[in-house]
Amino acid sequence: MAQEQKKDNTKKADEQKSPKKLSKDELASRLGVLAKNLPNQNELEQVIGMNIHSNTFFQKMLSTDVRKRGCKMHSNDYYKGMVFLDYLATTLLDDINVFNNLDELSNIAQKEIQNPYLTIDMVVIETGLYAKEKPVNYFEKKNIIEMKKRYDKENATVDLESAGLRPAEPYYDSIGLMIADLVDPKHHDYLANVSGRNELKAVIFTSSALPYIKDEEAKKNIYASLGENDYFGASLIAIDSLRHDTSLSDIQDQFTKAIFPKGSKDDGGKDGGGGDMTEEILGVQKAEDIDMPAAPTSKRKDDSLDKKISSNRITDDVYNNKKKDNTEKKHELERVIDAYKATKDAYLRKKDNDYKRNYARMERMLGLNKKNHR
Amino acid sequence: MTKKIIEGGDLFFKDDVQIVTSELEKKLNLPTPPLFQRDELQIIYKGHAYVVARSLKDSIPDSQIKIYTKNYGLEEIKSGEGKVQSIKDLEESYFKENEEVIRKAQAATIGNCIVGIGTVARDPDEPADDSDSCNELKGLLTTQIGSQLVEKINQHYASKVKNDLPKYKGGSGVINTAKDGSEYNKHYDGTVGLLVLDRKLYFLETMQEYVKKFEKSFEPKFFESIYNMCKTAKPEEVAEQINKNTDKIHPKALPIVRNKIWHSNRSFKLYLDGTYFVPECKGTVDELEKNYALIIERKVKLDGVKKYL
Repeated sequence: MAQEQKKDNTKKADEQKSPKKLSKDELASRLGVLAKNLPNQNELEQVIGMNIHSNTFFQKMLSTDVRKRGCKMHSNDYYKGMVFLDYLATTLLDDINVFNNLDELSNIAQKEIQNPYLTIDMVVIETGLYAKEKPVNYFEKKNIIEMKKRYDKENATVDLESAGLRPAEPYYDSIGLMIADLVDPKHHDYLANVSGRNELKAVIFTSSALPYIKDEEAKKNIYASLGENDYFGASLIAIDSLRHDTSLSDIQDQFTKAIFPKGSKDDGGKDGGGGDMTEEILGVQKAEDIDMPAAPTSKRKDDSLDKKISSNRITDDVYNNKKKDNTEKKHELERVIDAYKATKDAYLRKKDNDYKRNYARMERMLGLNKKNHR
Repeated sequence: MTKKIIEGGDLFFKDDVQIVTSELEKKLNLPTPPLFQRDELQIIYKGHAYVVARSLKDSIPDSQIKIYTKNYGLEEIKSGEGKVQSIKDLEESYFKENEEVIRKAQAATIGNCIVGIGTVARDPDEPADDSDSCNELKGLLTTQIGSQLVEKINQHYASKVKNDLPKYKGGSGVINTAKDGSEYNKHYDGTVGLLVLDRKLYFLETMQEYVKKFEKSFEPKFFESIYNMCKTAKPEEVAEQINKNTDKIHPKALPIVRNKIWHSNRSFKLYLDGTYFVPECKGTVDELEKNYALIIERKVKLDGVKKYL
């Protein structure tokens, strides 16, 4: 009897560890009920230019500060990016200054590739670089306690088995689907046991960071934590790994990708790519969304080239012209990266000088200066 | 015997009947009226109450609501047995469910607002008491008192109940305006379509109405063509046309105008009565609900007069 009970308990524990298998509709409905029953995190109603469901989503998923702050991001990545940044800024770092770095990056992108809208990849990499600049030991007990406090404060869990829940409805099924879409489908199973706001954000954060984590051991630990419903723990490993695994060259790669997207001949793609490239560059610019200001309406200089490419008549001449064009763009890109590095260096130097100056001032104030000692 | 009905003041003759207006104007402690209480997205249009249909076969013809990437239809509110509920049905259920509370409120109001001779107001459920002076008054004064009370109630609520919602401009007439005799429809007949979600109130503006607000940001000729297009075209077609002419619209207004109409397959879309609508948030539903509660309160008091006098 006791053995049977033990077996039963082990089975239950295993069931808890292994994520639930839900269809996408079931998952969306579950997340919809969760979202519906969560109190709003902010009450800002963006009347102009925003869809009714986007408003609901942001009210449920963003803090007031982050929502007011905003960030220039590609429309396809906007929801995901904002939740990612919200979790980073309000829970992990308790510091909204990461947005300043993103503004800086966006300015460089605007100046050099005429597109200020960052992709989620750029945001994740920049986050890693920011975490590198800000030397926090994420596994120090004191820090973990602070982060966990912030995590629990905004978690607002909902008992999804409770009888008094606000019922499911199609509108919130769609909100649930919006949330599910922010997470890589490979990680959907980890959403099935989520029952709180910050748990959701932690899964979204971790899922977004995973493609940039190179350390296999860290990845294994992240999946293990997610499997045990330890979403907070998984996000800690993720931010710590991002710090180690991202570099300026990743940003460089992202800029290259924006200019030479997959499929172009230079990228070794099979599609011949000229048309794709045009579409991608103009596509990004025309896809501005929600509360972002209007994108510049730049057009390709050579319209005839566009026509030729779009009609798939790519002659050698066109190809050579395109190659020449791309080489020029590569040079431009190198200048962008140099400018970015220079800005970054200057920023770090300034920070360093400020720190030294403040330190000296503090010493003087406290009478620790050697001269004063004497 | 000369009897007269007087108002206010402390001094009146034994045989006079005094109407205490302040009692008549007192707020009744009634439960919140039914219409805006549903815990789901609700659309009130031309006197019909719709919700998002869970299956397409239930939805009314030519209706579409697209939320994020999912498409649904709209259906009229149904009872537990699956019967379509008009706003009149909803109100009747409300009166029935709260019968006892309403009866007490009516008795208290009519009883307290008439002072002077015993109980002028009679409980229709109680047998008549021959010795009561009430009977004496019956036929002599009740009609007169009743009509005065009705007048006073109407006067009081005329100044309190608002009717300031904008009127319909859109809709090709596929859906007929409901004339169901409900208090809501009698008062708000011809009012703009409403969307209620999570206690927030949205006015349903047609695409034309929405675009019109940004007229000054457009090149005049282009505005005219877009404005006309908005009457029949799909939102995605209007957005495409705007995208093709970005130089004819102020760059700052461009995303604001276009994105709410259509920006991608994640956009919201509402098609009803042969028209595409854009919901515009107008704050919470509280004010409208309070106003509706006053309309219901007036009805309860007027019914009380009929019932007791």
